[in-house]
Amino acid sequence: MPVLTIDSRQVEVEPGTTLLKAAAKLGIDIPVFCYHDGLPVAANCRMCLVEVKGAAKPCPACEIQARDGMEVLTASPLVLEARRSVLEFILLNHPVDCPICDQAGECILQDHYFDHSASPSRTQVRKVHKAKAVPVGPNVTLDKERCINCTRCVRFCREITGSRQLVQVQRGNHTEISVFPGRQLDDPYSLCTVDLCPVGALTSRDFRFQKRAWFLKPAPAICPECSRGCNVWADAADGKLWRIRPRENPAVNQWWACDHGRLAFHRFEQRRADRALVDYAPRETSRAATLEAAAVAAQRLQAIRSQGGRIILILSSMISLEEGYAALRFASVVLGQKLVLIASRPDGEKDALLRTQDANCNRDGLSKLAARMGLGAADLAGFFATAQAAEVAGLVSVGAEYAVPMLPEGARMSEAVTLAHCLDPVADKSTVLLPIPGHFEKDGHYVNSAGLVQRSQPALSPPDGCVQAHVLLSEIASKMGGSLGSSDLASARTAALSLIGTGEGSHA
Amino acid sequence: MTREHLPMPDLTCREMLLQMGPSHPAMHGTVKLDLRLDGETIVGIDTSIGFLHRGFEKMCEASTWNQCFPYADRLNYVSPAINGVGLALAVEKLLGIEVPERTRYIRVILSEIARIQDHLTAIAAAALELGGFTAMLWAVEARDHYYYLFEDVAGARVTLSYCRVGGVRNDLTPDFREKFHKAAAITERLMVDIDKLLTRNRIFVDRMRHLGVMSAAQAVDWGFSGPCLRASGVPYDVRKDDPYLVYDRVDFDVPVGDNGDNFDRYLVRMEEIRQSLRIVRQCFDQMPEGPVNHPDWQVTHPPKTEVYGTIEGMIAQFELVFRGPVVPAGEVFHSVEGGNGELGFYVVSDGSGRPYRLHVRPPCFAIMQALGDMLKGSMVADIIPTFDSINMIGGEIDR
Repeated sequence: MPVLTIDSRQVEVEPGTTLLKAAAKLGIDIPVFCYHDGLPVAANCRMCLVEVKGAAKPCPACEIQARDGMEVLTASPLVLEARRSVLEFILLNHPVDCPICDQAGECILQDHYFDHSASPSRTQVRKVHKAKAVPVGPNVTLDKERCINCTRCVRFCREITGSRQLVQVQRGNHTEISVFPGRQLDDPYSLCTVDLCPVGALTSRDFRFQKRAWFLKPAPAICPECSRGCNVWADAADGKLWRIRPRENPAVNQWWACDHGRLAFHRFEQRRADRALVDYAPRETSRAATLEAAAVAAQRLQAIRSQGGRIILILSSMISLEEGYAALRFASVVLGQKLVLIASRPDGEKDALLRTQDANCNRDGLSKLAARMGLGAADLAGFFATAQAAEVAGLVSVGAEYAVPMLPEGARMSEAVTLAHCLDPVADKSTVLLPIPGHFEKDGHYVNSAGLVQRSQPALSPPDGCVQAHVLLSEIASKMGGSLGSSDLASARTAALSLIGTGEGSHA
Repeated sequence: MTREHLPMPDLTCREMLLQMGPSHPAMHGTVKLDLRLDGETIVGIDTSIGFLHRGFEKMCEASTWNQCFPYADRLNYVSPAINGVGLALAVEKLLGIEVPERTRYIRVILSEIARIQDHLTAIAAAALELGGFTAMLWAVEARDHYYYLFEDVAGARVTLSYCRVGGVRNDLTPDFREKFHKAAAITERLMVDIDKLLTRNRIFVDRMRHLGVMSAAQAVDWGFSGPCLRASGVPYDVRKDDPYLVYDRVDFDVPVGDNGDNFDRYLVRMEEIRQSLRIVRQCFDQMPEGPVNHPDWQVTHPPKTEVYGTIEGMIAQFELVFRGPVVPAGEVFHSVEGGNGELGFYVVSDGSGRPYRLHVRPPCFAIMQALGDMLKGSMVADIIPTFDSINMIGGEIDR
């Protein structure tokens, strides 16, 4: 294995390792623009130039592979001067856009200039102007002036999704990123080019001008939109979610996330259930009012049970393992059922990169959890097609992201208690609606299609009237004369995780 | 007035506990004294501070280096300009940079004007609380002329936020020098009047002399500095003993007292005002033209023409605002001569744009802790002139 010297320190690396990676092994940070771990090397920005003893001129560290006995300098006067010159060259035609640029605050051009140059402009000539705010696709806007021609976006479309929708056209000063005439950037992963763009040339049409980067607080979450369980950052500020970005996880989604998943969070903002409804009459938006409504639900369910009526539990496949655990305990301990129904969202569009057909983020996890708690699980629609569905007198639904099933002939259904975060069709049909935190407002674990247990942390606090599902269920249980045991999240988590696997990052 | 001067009948009485402050009008700066009294004689004093605590040091950890300056102004709010200078010098010491020559003079000029204001305020408060309302009005009038100067140059009268790491916000106004000379002439005239009104005033002298006495040895032991230390006869002045900026290029005297009592502290302050005027006049004579900010954009904000006109200046401005000036990792202590004595800043940087730790050594903390010692055996009424003569400033002591 080659042993080389970087800044007078020796390091041994695998054959084929680039100087950039070898330096990183020593904790030496070399600035880059065009290099990205997930993309093929282009070595066109020249920001990573280092001095190699014996080489005629500075070498790009992202491309040059380590050889035995190589001597590399990453902070020599030549290297520092090279970086200054590269930055001066890149900024030559860069517009004075920071105050109106979405990237400002998370722009590596800003950071690299400040760290490696911070020298005044020497230019006497006018900048080359190019098209601004070009809507290149349904989700992406291109500002050609801001582009530093690193080609990360071009390489992404060529190598990762294969759509080849972006190209570099023209020459020299006039080089720019473009789509083919009459075509647009409608790649289902087009927003990845926005993340990849080191500057503000490619911006998200959804996020554009919405919030300055430095106000956003990222929370490590899991995307709920399909069973892949992509790791994402949920960026929130002022009690609102503004943006979803992929969070690197080589085992699940690498550096990517699909446009569908990133933009789907807006659905949580629409028809938000922020207060309890009893017989469609709204209660106050407070925790106390929601708990009162839970007591009403308990009373009604108790009345059904005392008349010998059957109450059945429906689990939405979108809820967390913690919520699922509390709900399954409720079904077996309080409702005395051996069977629960699992309700799922209809299949989504599968694609070659990340998206799976199953549009539910926790179907496998909840089924496994039910099985390990000794409960049978049936599909909601299937169950409602059978004759025994007609005997059901009450329903308790935890989560409501599924289609309302057709009631069978002669149904005796009198109560439907729903714990939901949105006023979707199921919630609209409920006699008692109890608001719970939405996906990005709760801390929970999910099992993805590969069986990996992953944790999603909250980016927001829920509205005042929302109460966590396990608290509501434990409240209803106690009012019905039963008990779920401890009602705190930590014990539900410990119990659920010990049933399903050993913990976050393990396989169920 | 000590106990010996009064005929004391041999009465037996119990020790009385009396709380003076924190909202007592003479406990300005907001401080509470727990007095133990034998009749009207002070047996002991416990000083409670903390009523003006703002968490200055902790707030700074969440602020960029330049965002600390407005907070620093609120330390000794009677002479805020010196606080900013002290903080800037400490950070610059860690950076290893020197500000331009002109700024070194500007900072001395601002510091000395602040010292004049500080001393005038201390004298005004003492005179007022001993019944000399006129002297107070005159001192405050003299002080006000400098506030107008500050307003011209910084836009604010008291809390200037004028210093920056690597320089100052802007150059002095073109007529600053002329206005200063006018203000200085008025100050000198008013000083003569105040001098006539107080220095040989029987009531004033009787309540100041031989009270609140600190010997030189005691003062050093307690950690005194500034006018209170010099009144006890120790000629220690940071400007002379560890000269910073351009204090080694100007000629000035360090007045010292003989007795270390309230009256000496008053006299030392009166003389220091005259010396400060001397310093500022010399600075105006020596001050060169030139830039006021260090040229490194990693430290100081680029000129506005560069910010609005070039991407380079724009980026530097952005980074300096949301990341802060790049200060190398390390720690440093730097002190300046504040209005009340040695004002020290201990700063620790972890290499980011914000302080990792910032600690202030406020001069009046050390002085205030000796109050009980200075007043033991004196009468309750003696608290007023003694407390005034040490010029405790709440913003500085509580931080």
